[in-house]
Amino acid sequence: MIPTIAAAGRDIAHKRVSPVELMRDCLSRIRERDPELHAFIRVTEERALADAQAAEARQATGTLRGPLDGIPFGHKDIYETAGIPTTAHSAQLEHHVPERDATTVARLGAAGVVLMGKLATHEFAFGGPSFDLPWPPAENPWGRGHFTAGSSSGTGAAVAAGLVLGGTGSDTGGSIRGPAALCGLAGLKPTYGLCPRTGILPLAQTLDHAGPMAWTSEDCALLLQAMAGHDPADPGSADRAVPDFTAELAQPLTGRTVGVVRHFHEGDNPASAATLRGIEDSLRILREAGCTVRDVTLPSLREFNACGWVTLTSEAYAIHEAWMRTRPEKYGEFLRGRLALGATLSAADYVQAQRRRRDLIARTEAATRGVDLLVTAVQPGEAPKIKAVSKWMSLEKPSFTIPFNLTGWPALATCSGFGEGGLPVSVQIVGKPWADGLVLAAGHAIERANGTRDRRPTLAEVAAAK
Amino acid sequence: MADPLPPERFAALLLSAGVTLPAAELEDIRLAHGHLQEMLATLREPLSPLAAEPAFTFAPQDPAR
Repeated sequence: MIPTIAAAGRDIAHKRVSPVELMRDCLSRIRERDPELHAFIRVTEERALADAQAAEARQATGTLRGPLDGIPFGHKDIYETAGIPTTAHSAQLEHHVPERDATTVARLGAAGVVLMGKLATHEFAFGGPSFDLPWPPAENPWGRGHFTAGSSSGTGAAVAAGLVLGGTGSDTGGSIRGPAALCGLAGLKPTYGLCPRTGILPLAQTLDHAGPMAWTSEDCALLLQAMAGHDPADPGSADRAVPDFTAELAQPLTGRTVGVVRHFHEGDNPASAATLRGIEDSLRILREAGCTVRDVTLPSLREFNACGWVTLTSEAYAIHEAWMRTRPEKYGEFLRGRLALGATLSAADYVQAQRRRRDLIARTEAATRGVDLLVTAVQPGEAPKIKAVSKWMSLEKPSFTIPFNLTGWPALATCSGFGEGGLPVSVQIVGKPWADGLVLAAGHAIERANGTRDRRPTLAEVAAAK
Repeated sequence: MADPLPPERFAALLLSAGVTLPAAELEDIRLAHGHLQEMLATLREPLSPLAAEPAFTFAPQDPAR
């Protein structure tokens, strides 16, 4: 039985579980499953033992630091970790050893998490799934050979398989929500400015968000509590009080208005029957919790994607320009190709995207007056086979997630059921800026009612899907 | 998808950016560039009147804060 962070934290607090034993359970699953899943780039076994022993000493002396103390954890390998290589899953940074922790890494460390290692990512959070990098891509624990989505691919696989109980992700166009959806867990892209990005390798600074991934929304609330808060070193970090996200999980949903962005998942990019069933089931749960549900119409996914892609590729190319000119061979083919598109864009193209972005945000705000939450899809269906994922997939079909990178609004992916292939499908819940607690409360209500949190991918399922 | 640029024009575009890529990858990227051109056309569809958007990014801060 793989515990949630909340349950493990309670068990540690009541001395029913030893942090060292909890760490060893995860280590055992890593040894058993990771040779097939490739969720880890690097397992930090010695560090994990030291962290767990320190947590156990605090447990013995009644000085635990809170609900994350002793929790086995992993960081996406774009989060810098002092003295531990941070590679971005790329030959460009294969031997890069940072001197300092990212702000969020330091905050989670101070909360007592046990660092199990660094997790796979699409190269620099943009290029994947790639088979020409120093490490293979992560695979989906629900089906061997299936895609995890990206870019927080290792975190998705590791949490689903119970190799860690939680992990970090980053989301520039959907990179937390996509893997959360295809791996059947919860992942929150917080409001822009809530979690500082200091020490996280950037992809596109006006779209980048740091956030938590875990089995449940409740666990994401616990992780967000540690990650959130102002950091003056990140110019995009907001200087405002951090609410109690766990307390906000218990808020009543009665009287809230939910807007269904039906044209996203029924027209702009039609989702599978199982995804549509999961969305309707989630809406039923929210209705039964006292919400009013009505349809809303936002600008089309086509418009959002045009703005998002031009913004993202322009900013990403600006970051990678020097290496694209001097050592492009050190990138994998997927990332090299995607960055090359950014090289073709002009200053006028980027400015047009920013003009459009402002307009899209204004129209989204106008269309959602009186609405507290939005609901739509995260992914069109279950995970495809990893070898079937095209280099240009995200150009060919519009993304459900990038609209909320452009607006900066908080958005959660959580499991809403299972498809015909037995793999998870997911629902996206979006809130207004700084309503992260309400978004998590809605996800929490859906998870408690839909029964999906009782089912984990088993090794037998992995073997059967070969 | 919009018609991709002719190969020589696309190669010149990359060259002007100082980017040299393996020849075997160029054609694939050129074809994908058609998607990007379609996106750029979307971004150039008319917006609000020019006078209604005097600024879009810069907001001065009060130095006394």
